[in-house]
Amino acid sequence: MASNTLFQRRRNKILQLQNIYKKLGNFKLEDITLNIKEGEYFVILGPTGTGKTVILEIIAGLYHPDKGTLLYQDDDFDKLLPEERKVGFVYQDYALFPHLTVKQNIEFGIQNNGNGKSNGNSIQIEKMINLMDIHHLMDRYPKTLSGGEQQRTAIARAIVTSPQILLLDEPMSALDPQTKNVFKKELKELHRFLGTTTIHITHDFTEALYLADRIAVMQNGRIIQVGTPSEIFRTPGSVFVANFVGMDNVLQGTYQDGKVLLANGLQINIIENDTLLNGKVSIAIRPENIIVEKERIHSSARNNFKGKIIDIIDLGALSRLTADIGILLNVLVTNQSLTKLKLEIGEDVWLTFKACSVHILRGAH
Amino acid sequence: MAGSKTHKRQNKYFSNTIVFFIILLISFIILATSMILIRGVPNLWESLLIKEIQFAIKLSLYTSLISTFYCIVFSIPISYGLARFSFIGKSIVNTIMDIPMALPPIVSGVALLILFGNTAFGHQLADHGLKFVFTVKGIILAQFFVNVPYIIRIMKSTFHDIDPRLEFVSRTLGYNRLKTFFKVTLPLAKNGLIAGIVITWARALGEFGAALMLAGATRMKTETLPISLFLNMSCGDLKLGLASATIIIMISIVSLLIFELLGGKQYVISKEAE
Repeated sequence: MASNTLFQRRRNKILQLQNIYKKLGNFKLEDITLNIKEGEYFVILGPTGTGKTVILEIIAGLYHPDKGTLLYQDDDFDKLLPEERKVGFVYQDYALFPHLTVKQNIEFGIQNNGNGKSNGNSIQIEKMINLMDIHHLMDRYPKTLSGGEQQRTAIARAIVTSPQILLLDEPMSALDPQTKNVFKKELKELHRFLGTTTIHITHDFTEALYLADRIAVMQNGRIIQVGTPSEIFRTPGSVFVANFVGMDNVLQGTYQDGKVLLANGLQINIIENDTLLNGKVSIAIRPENIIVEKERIHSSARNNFKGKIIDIIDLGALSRLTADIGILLNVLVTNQSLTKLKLEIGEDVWLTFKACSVHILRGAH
Repeated sequence: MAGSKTHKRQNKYFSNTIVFFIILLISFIILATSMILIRGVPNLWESLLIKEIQFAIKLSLYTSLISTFYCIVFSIPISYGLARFSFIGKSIVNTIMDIPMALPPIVSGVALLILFGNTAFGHQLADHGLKFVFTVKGIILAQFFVNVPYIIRIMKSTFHDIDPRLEFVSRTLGYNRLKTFFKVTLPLAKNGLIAGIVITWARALGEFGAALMLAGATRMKTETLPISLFLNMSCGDLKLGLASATIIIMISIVSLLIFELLGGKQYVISKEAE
């Protein structure tokens, strides 16, 4: 992977948040440490009200941290005024200037440099307008635009100034699902094209999965896990993260010799043989990693349980099936196999999953 | 369904009561103002040719425009500060700013008269050419003192309603506080500012009590429209008195219309909400 090493080498730490604390009213950020690399698309994921926006506002200079340091390329970033930091900020509701047209909004940041008429800038603006596909909107005022159009304008306004860091605060939460899907792709292409270091905040895991180079998961004002999307998705570090990334089946039990003993006596085989692992643990099994059959199948999978279907919810192409095997497990099956196997509520089934599909959650319960 | 009938009847009484009071008050207001307009308007043109009325109009315009200008100069930075920044003692500052609004203007006038006429500070100023007692400058100062809390209130709620994140975005785009204020905040405050100016100016035109105390009521010297009304009514010249009153009413109604057009209601509401 030659391209990958090249990629790695280019990526120095560019923005460092070290042990940042901030108290704002009832709400606080605690011990936030993040190292964001150059050109990285970094997503901060967490439920609403966990202080994600405040992190962006600290980076942009609206607030100073109570404790901790903020470094940009090893320099103290906190000393700089917001107008000196060269960050692009896109708020959740876009915060376009209502008294200016789309064109004037986009040119706002460039006019201030005093060389608004210089060729480079007009090329930059032209490029951005094409990239965001908004030339037909240039003379309109923000209040006449749809959510998606406001969104494009806000992003164009932020990036024409070539910011060092682009900060996106829940940029898609106000869009309808269809626009959101289109926009997700565009945002990814935009990042590939410009390579601007980007910090994006969201509560939507699928959004994070699609866009992020790395994800930080936040809970109650703290960062609880940082990793690549696949790390977070496959090996969530705690029950909270597991629930957040849609890992439905989180179970508590006691670890003993390669097995986890659940309260009702069920034994689940796991692969991790960690001697440090002792006593109470939480485990998680992704619902799509469980196979449902009417008969017991003989395979290498080491976890086989008999149970009864107690609920089926149609999710469109898939169905979520809940089976009682002494405990309740959720399973995702395609609607095709649901019909083929004639699965109905009340039927007996066998649930099978591999030992390697069982994840140990190490974080707080 | 006897119950339903009772409800219907009571609902009808309820709305009828509201309509009754609205009509009563509206008739009263229209009746009272028309008493002046009916008598004043037919003679208006004739009155406008009288020297004394011309003097009063000119003096009223001159003093009200200057005092409104000072109200703007003071109210913009003060109200922005009070709307945006939090500091220790802010509520005390707010209350002090409102004092001239709570005082009867005539009391404000007495206070100013003593300050500028009867203290070392006042004498010092007078020695340096700033004479306020029984002068035109005194009229301007009285109007300013009485009106500045109103424009501060209007501007405060105007600035308060502007999303601070717009200013913050402007700063991330490289504008410092000052530039942001002129490029973002002030343009967004335009309607509130115009409404504030119109209402302040109209109030300055009608200012009587404080001006009377500080500047006195000297014919053809400190004779603004309301003072002229007062002087002419006192000596029984009803025709001249009504001419001044008519002009004041007409200016007041026009400025009220402008204020309403610019969303004045909004400011009054947020004033109450504070």
